Amino acid sequence: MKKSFCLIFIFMLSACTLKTTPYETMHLLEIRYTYNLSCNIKLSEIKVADYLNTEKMVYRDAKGLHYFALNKWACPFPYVIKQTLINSFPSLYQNQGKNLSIYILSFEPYFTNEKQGKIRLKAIVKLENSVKTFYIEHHFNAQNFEELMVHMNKTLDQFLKNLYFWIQANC
Amino acid sequence: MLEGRVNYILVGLFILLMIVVSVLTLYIFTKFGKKAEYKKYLIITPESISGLREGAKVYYKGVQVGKVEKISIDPEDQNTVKIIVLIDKKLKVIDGMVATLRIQGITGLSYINIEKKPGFKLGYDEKEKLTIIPMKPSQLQKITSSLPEIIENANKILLRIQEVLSPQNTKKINQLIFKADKLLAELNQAVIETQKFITEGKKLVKVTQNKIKTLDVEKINITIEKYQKVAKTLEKLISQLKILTQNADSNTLPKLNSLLEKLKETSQELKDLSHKLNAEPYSLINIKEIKPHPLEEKR
Repeated sequence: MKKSFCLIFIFMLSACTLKTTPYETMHLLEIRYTYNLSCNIKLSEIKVADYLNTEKMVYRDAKGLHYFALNKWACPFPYVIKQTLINSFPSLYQNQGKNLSIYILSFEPYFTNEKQGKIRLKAIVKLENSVKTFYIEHHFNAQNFEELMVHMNKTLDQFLKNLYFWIQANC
Repeated sequence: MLEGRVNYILVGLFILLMIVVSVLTLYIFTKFGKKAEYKKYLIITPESISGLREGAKVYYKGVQVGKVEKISIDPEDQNTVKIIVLIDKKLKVIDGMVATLRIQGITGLSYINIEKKPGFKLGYDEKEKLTIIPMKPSQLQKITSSLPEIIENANKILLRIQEVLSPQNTKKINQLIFKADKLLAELNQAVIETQKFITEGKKLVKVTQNKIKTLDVEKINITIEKYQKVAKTLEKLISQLKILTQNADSNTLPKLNSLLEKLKETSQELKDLSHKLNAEPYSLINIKEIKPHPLEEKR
C-alpha cells in the first residue's frame, strides 16, 4: 500500500518536472562606443532588405535562409537599427544638417556548422552626394545564443566605426 | 501499529485531501486565475475577421498578452462583428492603442495584434460595460477588400470598351469626321498609363500569387485569378484603343474620353494597391518556421 502511495506521489511530482514550453527571448543591439560627429547630420532614411523587415531574426546555413525560432528582435529590425544609430551618433537626434540614408542589405549569421560561421553585414550608405558600400565579415565561434549576440554586436560596432570615419572624411 | 495493517481512516483522509486539492487546482487554473489576471475588452469591426477563432492569441509587441474569448455578430447591426478579448491586467490599455488582424504562419489562422498608433482613442460600450479597443483594417484586409473593387471597375471598363467597339461605332469610326489633337494627346497619354497599369498589374499578380499561395487564403486566390483574366483582356483591347485614337469621330470621342478617365482611375487604384504590398510585403511572406537552431537550445 505504501509503495502504491509513493508511486502516485512520484507520478504527480513528475508532472512538475516535465519539459516546459520553450519561451522566446527578445534582443536589442548593444553598442560599445559613441561617436561625436564634427558636422551636423540628419538621418533621413533607414531601409532594410525585405526579409529583414520583421521582428524575426534571420540566419543562413548551407540549406538557405531561416528564422530563429526562440529568439527575436524586441521590435521590427529597422527600428532596432535606428535606435542603435542614434545611440552611437547622438548628434543625429538633432535632425538637422546633411542627409544620411542607410540601406541594410544583409545582417545575419552564416553558419558553417552548429557553432561556427561568420556574420555578414552589408550596407549602402549615402551622405548627400557621396555613396559607399560597407561589407563586414566577422568570424564567430559561439557556444550559445548569448555569445552569438555578442558577435552580432561586435560586427555592428565595426560597421559603426567604419561609418564614423567615412562620415568624418565626407563632412 | 502492526506492519502491513492498513489504516483505513488515514487512506480515506488522504483520498479526500487529494480530491480537495484537485478541485482547488482546477478552480484556480480556470475561473479564478482568469478573473484575477485578465481584463475583458471589446473590439468592434465591420471588416471580415476570417481565420480568427475563439481562443486565438492576442499579442502586443510580439508578446502574448491575452486571448480571444468570444466572437459574435452584433444583433443590432448585422454588419458589425464583436470580439471580446481577455488581456493581461499588467498591460495598461490606453488611448493610442489599436488592434489589427494578422495571419499566423501558413495555417491561415489569424490572431490579434495590439499596437500603438497615435490618434486612436478607446471607447466604452454601455451595454456590455466594456472598454472598446479600436480596430483598424490590416494590410491583408485592405487588400482583400480593395481587389474586388478593382475587378468591378475593370469589368465596367470592359463593358464600356465593348460598347465603344460595337459594329455601329466601328462604322462611324471608319467614316472619320475630324481629329481632335488635344484629345488625341490625352488618349495617347492614357494609353501609355494603361500599358504601365497592365505591366504593373501583371508583376503584382505574379508576386502576390507566389506569396499568397503559401497562405492558402481562398478568397484572395479567386480574386487574383479573376483579376488576371481581366488584365489579359485589357491588354488585347489596348492595341484596339490605339487604332481608335487615330480614327475617332465626334460621336465616339466623348465616349472614349469617359472610358479613358475610368482607365486612369483604375490605374491609380492598382498603384495604391501595389504601394500597400510594397510597404508591408512581409505580411504575405511566410517562411516556414523550423525547429530551434542548436545554439538556441544551449544555455
